[in-house]
Amino acid sequence: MHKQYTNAEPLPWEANLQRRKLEFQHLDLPEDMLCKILSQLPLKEVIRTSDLSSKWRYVRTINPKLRFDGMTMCSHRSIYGSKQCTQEFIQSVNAALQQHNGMFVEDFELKFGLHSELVIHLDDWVRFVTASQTKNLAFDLVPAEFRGRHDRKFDLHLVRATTKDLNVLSSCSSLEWLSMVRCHLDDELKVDLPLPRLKYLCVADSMITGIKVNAMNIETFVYKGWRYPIETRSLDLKDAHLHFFDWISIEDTLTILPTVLSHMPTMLENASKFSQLKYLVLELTVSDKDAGNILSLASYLRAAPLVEKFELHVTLLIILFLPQLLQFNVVIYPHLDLEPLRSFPQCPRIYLKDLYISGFVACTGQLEFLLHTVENAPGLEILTLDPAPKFDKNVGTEHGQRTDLFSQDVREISIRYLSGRISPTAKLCIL
Amino acid sequence: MAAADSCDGISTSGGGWEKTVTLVSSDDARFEVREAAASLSQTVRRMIRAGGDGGIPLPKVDARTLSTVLEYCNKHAAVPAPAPESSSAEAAAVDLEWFDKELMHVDLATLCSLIRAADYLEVAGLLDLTCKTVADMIKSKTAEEIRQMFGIQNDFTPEEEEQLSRENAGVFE
Repeated sequence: MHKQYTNAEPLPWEANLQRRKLEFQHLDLPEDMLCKILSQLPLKEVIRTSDLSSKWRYVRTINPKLRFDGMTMCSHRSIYGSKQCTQEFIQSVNAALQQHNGMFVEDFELKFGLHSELVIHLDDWVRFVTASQTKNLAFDLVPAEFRGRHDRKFDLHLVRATTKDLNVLSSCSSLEWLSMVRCHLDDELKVDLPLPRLKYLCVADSMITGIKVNAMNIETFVYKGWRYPIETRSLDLKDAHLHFFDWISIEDTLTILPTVLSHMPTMLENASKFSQLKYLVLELTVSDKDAGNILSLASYLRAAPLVEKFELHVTLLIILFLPQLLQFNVVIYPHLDLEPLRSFPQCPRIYLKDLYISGFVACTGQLEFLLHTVENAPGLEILTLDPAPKFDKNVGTEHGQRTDLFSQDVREISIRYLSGRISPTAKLCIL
Repeated sequence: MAAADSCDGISTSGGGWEKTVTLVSSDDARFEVREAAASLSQTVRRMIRAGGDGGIPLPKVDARTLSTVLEYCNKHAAVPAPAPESSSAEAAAVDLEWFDKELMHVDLATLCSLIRAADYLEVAGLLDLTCKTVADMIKSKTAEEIRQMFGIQNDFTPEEEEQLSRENAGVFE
């Protein structure tokens, strides 16, 4: 008994202690403040306080916050994540919920590694939460073996986030799918730690100043926006969809993919740099002066010989540097037979099966690109030439209605040049 | 304009001019405080907005407690918005944590009045801090130890006690 000590004459250094003990006499607080104190305690301790007195017992039952953290709740005898621990956890939660049955619970937090045994109880717990009109609810069911987050999919649409907020991605090492649409960071999208499982990355219509992620295994990369430094370090890209808003020279274009896969040397070197790429979509806006230079885009196919499907959407613009920058869509005229067509030297066989070119008007550059490609793609199965640009279907209507005559012209020129060059088994489709 | 009414003076601190307000404790002690610090209390903030002459009366807080509350507010309001990743922000956080710890070095009676004051004045940070301090005192103690520490009378009948132990049996033990 402690009384024995207090009856004895206190030793000098104990005097102070004694006085403090006397001051510590009484925790005199209204119930709602006791509630507040209990809310700072783990449930295990909260339950113990109901043994103190009837007042504490009452406080405990009106404590509107329920927090269950498996990590702190498991007894010393069971290991977190073990079957015994799971059983204990389920028992404790059920016991506590029974005592709060039908009561208002402000916060409900549950933290435990998801376990198959938990699943049948989860339904009950969720039912409890809805019945108790819980204001704040948090279920954290990250399995014990995942340190950090294990979100597989991250879909941000119209989210006002900052680079700092997105730091959370650094802890998502198991992220497989990341999409950001209309998220204006006004900063660089940067994830410091590697995302080895990331397979899909989409960044579209977002105001960013660059992308820097270390994701070796990206298979699909979709980008729509202004041209900024992009670094993904992917070795495995199978499907690339690049749509750049800014008008750029074709020459610049040739340096884009290498930056997308930044560790690669420039693609103009002859090796097959994108050996995995199967599907490539390129949407570009180029100045009319560059129209004759479209052939250079064939380098893409040289660097990615295994591409099976290639879509090329080029919008040609006249750009006038008047007091302000003006851009017009233009009608480029079909190739006239007066000038010879240029050609790249024969390149290694490419495995292209499906080629789609929109805005095809059989102008010199387009024709050069087309012929070069079909000559080197003996396995071509479908060739689609669409005179209408992918966007802005009305292009050309003001400067001259695209007449049947025009279409016929395009068709006639295309067929004339293609005959003998295109694989005989390929299906030609001129829209 | 409302703020100006209860604004008794202007003082300099850190090279800039800052508005101050006067708070009056239950025992009529007057405290002149920077408005930024006083505004950590939602109650005071509302009263500043409502306006009034001759200082803001706080009839539920005595001078001794109020001075501790204001010590907390002054310290915490002085902290600039943290710029993460900078070493000075980290140092400031450590300093603040240390300050909080020191401030909580009080006896139980004082702690109780601080909890009441923080609750009445709605200083969320201080309320959390004080409650957490009491919670930490409860942690890993037996019921008997807690009763002694807090002067709680065990008012259960033996039957009730029996029932309690049955209810909690098997849970967490």
